[in-house]
Amino acid sequence: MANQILDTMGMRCPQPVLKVAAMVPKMSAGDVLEVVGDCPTFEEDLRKWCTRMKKTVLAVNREGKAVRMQIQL
Amino acid sequence: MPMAEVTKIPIIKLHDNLIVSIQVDLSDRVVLQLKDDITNTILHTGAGGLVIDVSGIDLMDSFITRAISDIGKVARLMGVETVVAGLNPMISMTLVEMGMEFEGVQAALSLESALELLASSRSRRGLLSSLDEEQEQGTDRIRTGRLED
Amino acid sequence: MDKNDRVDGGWLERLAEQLERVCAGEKEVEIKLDTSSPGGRRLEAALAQLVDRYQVNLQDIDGFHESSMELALGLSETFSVLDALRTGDMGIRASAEMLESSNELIAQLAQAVNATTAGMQQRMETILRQQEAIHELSTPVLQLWDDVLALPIVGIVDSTRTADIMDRLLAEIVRSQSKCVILDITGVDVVDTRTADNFIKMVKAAELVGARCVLTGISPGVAQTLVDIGVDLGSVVTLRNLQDGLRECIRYLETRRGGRADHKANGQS
Repeated sequence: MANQILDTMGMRCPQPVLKVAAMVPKMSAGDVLEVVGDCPTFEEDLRKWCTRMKKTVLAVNREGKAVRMQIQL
Repeated sequence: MPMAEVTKIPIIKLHDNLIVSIQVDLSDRVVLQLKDDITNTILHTGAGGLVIDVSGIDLMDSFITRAISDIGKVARLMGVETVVAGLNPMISMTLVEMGMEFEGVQAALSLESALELLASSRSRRGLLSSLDEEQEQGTDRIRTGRLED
Repeated sequence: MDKNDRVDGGWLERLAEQLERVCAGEKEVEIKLDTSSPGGRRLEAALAQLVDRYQVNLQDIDGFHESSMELALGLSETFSVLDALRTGDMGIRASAEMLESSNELIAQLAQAVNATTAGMQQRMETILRQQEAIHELSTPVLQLWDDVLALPIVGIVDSTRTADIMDRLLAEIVRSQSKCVILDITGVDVVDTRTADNFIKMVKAAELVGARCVLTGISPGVAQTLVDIGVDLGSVVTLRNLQDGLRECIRYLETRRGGRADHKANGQS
């Protein structure tokens, strides 16, 4: 379902957030970006980013230590 | 004839008319050159009529009729009327039988009749006045074609 | 341990639990052992100090995390604004949040970005205004003779321009009561079927308000293109240049003034 998948496993926040921001110009409005990461504040940071940039969080799934989120751009 | 040179068919100016006499074989390049020469002459001399004399052509085919029609259309856009002269009755019949025709170009038998035709044609009587006439007679030919309103 | 230390069963467990919480990153853990033994109290004090120091350092890290998040969000927004600018949206600006960011770098970046987009917007507006002025200049309607208007057309004739030209031409025909219009297209290099249609439209429109229209200035190249693409101008009168056009118009007007002669009977020019 996702248009693109971004793997940020092993990256420390806020690097995942910056990676997500860098993906946006390469995608179109309405596209779904799936991001997976294991940094402790991953979900919180990404939610903050979505609020600030006015994007929608579609889904959040926990996979052990990692979190997989789907965001609509 | 050297390959590099394209035969230039001479164009004679007679009063208000141009006369072109075709005596050589027509190829794509020759026709192209002739078209250029005619249109440039029209541009620079302001001729009102063009006569293409084909009495020197042995074989009339669709290529030649198309070439002459083409020249006629281009000349017409520049305000010049074209008449083909020197068609003998045999050739005319052949053309008709084969379904080939000259578009936008009138035909005359001799050079003299061609010049007379041009003299009395609408380019002499007045192009805009002819439109008035056509309208009155209900033969208005302005096409609506692809116009949207 | 000396005899005064009272080791009750939960003492070590409670200690282990509190230390676990500290290691898990909880920041409000207090080490409380409830022991009366001096050794126990010293242990409690030492651990409490350790925990406090650790918690203070954790707060520092949180602080770093917050400010680098702020940086990341600010940069994120910058990408977004620059990207929007690239697609032509010059009204885009950095948000108030970014301008008032606690991170000075981000606040400055926001100001710089806004100055850039505002500057681009201004320049764009100037260019558009200039284009309009050129547009106005490029199609004047000239009164060439009594009852004869001339319209030299230069450049590209798209549907917007056609509509604009027709508006002005028709208004001028009606205002000046002109009977003839010369549409000169010497300045038009590129003619395709759409452009040709536009010219036919202009001629038809002029006729509808009672003026005869001729098209002049078709160059050899344009004429050839029109024939090549098969455009049929119908009965639109086309002449070599403006002078020929004017001559024809004057002749036409004289004919009209002299009443309709019977041209069929008159074979002479």
